[in-house]
Amino acid sequence: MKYKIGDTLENWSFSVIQENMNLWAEILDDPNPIHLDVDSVKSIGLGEKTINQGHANIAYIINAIDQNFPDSEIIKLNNKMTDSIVEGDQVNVSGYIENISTKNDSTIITCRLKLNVGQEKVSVISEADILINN
Amino acid sequence: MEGKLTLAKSKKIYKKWQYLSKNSKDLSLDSFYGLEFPGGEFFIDKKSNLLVNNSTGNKLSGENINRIIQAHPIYFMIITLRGSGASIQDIFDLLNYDTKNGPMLGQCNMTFNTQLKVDCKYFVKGQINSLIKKNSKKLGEIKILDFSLTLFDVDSKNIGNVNYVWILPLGKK
Repeated sequence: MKYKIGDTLENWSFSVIQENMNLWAEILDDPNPIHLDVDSVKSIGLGEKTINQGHANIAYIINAIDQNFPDSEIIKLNNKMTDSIVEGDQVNVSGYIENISTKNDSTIITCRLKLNVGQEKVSVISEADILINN
Repeated sequence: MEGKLTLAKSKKIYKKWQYLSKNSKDLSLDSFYGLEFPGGEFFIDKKSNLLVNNSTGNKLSGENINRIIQAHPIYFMIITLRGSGASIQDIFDLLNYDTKNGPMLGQCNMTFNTQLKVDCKYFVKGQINSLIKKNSKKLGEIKILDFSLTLFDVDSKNIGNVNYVWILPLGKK
């Protein structure tokens, strides 16, 4: 077993651009203007930049899990959105292994993950159960 | 067939959505508890899967598109929303909610029973669990919408569940 409780995950990073937000608005059929129009964001007092879709933020968490546990399967993923990710943000996913258990012939790894922008802003807090086939 | 709603049932639910959408201004928040989604289906096509992966930093080569079997797990969220029989705008219309106030995803909890595949069709069922009103220090008066959607394959096997909590600012601070 190459994984241990307390192991930190390899960080995963990505730059958020408007082009991808436009695409996600189409993918989700979501007309919410805060993803597309800076003036809308300003008018409701949510800042100066368009806000990334929460779904995309969760996809970053999934990609970080995939990078750290290739050929594994996510069986549970709980996500709490704590702050916005905006256009131009450089996001980083970090995390650690909180628990390791076995079920039948498989190993289940529980991880805690965070999606950050810089040191201060935590935008998503996640808990994932990942199935590793032995 | 557990995963597929009968046409008659789907029509009945759709009519209830129409009625609630027209009258939501005058209804109590409790009126929406337990409301079923009309239900529907969603097909994951290869090209869209490629776009979803590439737009979130998981770079896949378009040259290998025919070798990619599994869909990105974020499709659990995409399918449950796009295949529920109600678009995001329909949900806001149901609640008489103005999207100019900036609705936000607050929480999303998912359980995955099996991996999703491209070139496959999936079916969605779900319901609204609760709708409450409260005050937020940051956003002022808000509504909190909690709903769950379940995904089935063509054999009506439960593929996974997604529970959403949406924060709906009311624009009154």
